[in-house]
Amino acid sequence: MKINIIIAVCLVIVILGSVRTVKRRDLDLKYALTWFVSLICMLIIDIFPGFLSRLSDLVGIDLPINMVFFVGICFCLLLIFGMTVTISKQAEKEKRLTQELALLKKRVEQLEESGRY
Amino acid sequence: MKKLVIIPAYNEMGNIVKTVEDIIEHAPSFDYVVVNDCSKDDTKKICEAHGYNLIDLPVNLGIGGGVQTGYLYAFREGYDIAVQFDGDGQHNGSYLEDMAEKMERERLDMLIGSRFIENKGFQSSFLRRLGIRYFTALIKFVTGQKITDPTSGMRMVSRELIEFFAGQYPKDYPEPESVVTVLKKGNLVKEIPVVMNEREQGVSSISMKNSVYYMIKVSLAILLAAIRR
Repeated sequence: MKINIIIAVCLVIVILGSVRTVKRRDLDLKYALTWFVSLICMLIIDIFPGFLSRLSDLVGIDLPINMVFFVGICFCLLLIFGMTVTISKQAEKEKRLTQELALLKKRVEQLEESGRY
Repeated sequence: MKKLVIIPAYNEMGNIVKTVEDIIEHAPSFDYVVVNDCSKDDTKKICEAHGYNLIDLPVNLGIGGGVQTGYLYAFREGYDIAVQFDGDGQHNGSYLEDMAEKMERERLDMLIGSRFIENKGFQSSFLRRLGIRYFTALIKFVTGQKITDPTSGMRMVSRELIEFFAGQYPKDYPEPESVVTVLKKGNLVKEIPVVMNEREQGVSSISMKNSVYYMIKVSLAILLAAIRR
């Protein structure tokens, strides 16, 4: 029971910390939602351990902890996949911006030259 | 007819002057633009010192992004024909006028300068030729058309494809993939025999180390381009 309390305290601190990060606008609310939901799920599992054992019984996993690992790894993989998608999109935008910037730079230099002479 | 030569350049300070002078001398009806892909050497300085028409990318985009910048420029400046021309001294400017003439006469959308029609000049190493043959076979398989030199960076395109490439162009190793995309789009693609030189200075973008990655990546890109509509 002691470990449950320690974990609950840790989770609450992490949740408060992530709320603060969003408040300071260091983290976009769009991405923060995933973290809030997963942290709250962890908190529920921590406070009501019976919930997890019943759930793993239901899907036929003998050890509840295996269910935690399985779901946790799946969640991480999904998250990483989402991040690579985001990175790809950002790289595309960055490329476009770079190209526009280079063309603008060229245009400005041309205009400066034609103005000077 | 406004015609543009797009010269992508990354660390080509040893070759760029020769390349540009070659075009000015042998392809007088063409304008040219050097796209400096944030070179770490003095490519930019040399171009500025010579007063070359230069687009200077503020960050490195890689060959695809660099060439695409050239197409974007060609599109905005209203060019009817654009041709890619490597800044490493491998290509010969003397073919450009003939290529443009053939483009116009046969109303082509893309004309590729191929080393492997007459098999003259620098033919690349045995392993590379083997890789190129494989791509030729793969492209024949997915499109039905034989492209003898799908990795050739010397390619001339029409206004329609200038606009298309300005909108979308593969990021890295773009040559074989873009040929497939264009063929699948239903555009008319042909090849013309050219002689290429062995690069004199600088290094190729494809080394032995990443050639396996290159083969897999480009194969996948070709297959994807074939099923993408």
